Amino acid sequence: MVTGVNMAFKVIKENVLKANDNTASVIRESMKKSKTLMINIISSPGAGKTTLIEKIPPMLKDAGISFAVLTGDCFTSNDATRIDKAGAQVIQINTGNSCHIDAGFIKKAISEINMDGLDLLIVENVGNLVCPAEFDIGEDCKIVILSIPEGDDKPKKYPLVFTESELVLLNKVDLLGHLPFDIDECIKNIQGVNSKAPIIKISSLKGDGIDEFIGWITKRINIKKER
Amino acid sequence: MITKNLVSLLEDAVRPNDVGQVKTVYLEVGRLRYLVPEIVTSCFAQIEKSDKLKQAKLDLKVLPVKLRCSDCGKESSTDENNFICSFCLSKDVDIVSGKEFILKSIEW
Repeated sequence: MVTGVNMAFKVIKENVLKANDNTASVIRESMKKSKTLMINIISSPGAGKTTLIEKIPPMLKDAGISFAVLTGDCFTSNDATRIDKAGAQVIQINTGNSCHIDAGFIKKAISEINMDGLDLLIVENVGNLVCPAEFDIGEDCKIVILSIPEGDDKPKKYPLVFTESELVLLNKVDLLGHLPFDIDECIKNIQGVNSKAPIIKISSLKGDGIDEFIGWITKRINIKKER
Repeated sequence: MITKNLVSLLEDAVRPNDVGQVKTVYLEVGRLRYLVPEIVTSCFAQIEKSDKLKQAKLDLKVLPVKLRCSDCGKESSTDENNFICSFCLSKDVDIVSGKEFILKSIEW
């Protein structure tokens, strides 16, 4: 017999970010078809994402890598203008009030690119160490840039982005010795939340370590092509 | 945007006729997620939703970070952002829990 209890319960067990993750899967499938390596570059504002992306087009071209860039920014197209000048095919994604790129933005942007024969798609996320870490955009890997002026404790403060990244770039190493930054402590902090990711020391401005980064990308592209 | 996703899942869940006025929405959030319960709660209060959801309160449970060690195979949990196996101190660990964001259930 039914009793007089007027309360009921329903188990749902659903990922709240399901809609985003479904779109990310569609993007991942399309990248698999075109055998394009998609990298999602994340960092704080001012850590050197755009400067790095400006620096690499000639080196990627020398390595015979075809590539395009999607650059995220809340409002401006400053970054796209800079990257365009550096000789790369670039699409600006303006996220408006959103502090990160989600899979929907990428799906729309890649519909404007010819993916056939494209080896590498570089996504420059919105400058932020928090939300971009949480969103799957269909990328093969996230890459986090931490720059020396930000301080050696950031991996402890923003663990998720470091945990989720397959590669860590320590940028502005030309400033080491000028700022109170303990590189050994920093590496220890990174490895504390991700013992697997390689760490490459670079200077986007001066060019140190960039060839090692290109080497990493080349290797990763080859892995993708073999799959 | 996260709250919008949540409400859209909830609207699907409350559509059947046998579901009444929802009192509590149970959520599980991994510690590594940057979700501030107070902010999610205030967004949820303000966002447009159907009558069945208007009185609903959020019950947000934070799940700890759980690690599985590749060396000794044991699982341990940690409150620190230094992920090492608490049994054998190996750094070769996989995060098996701590990144969730799950709409667990509703009560009406």
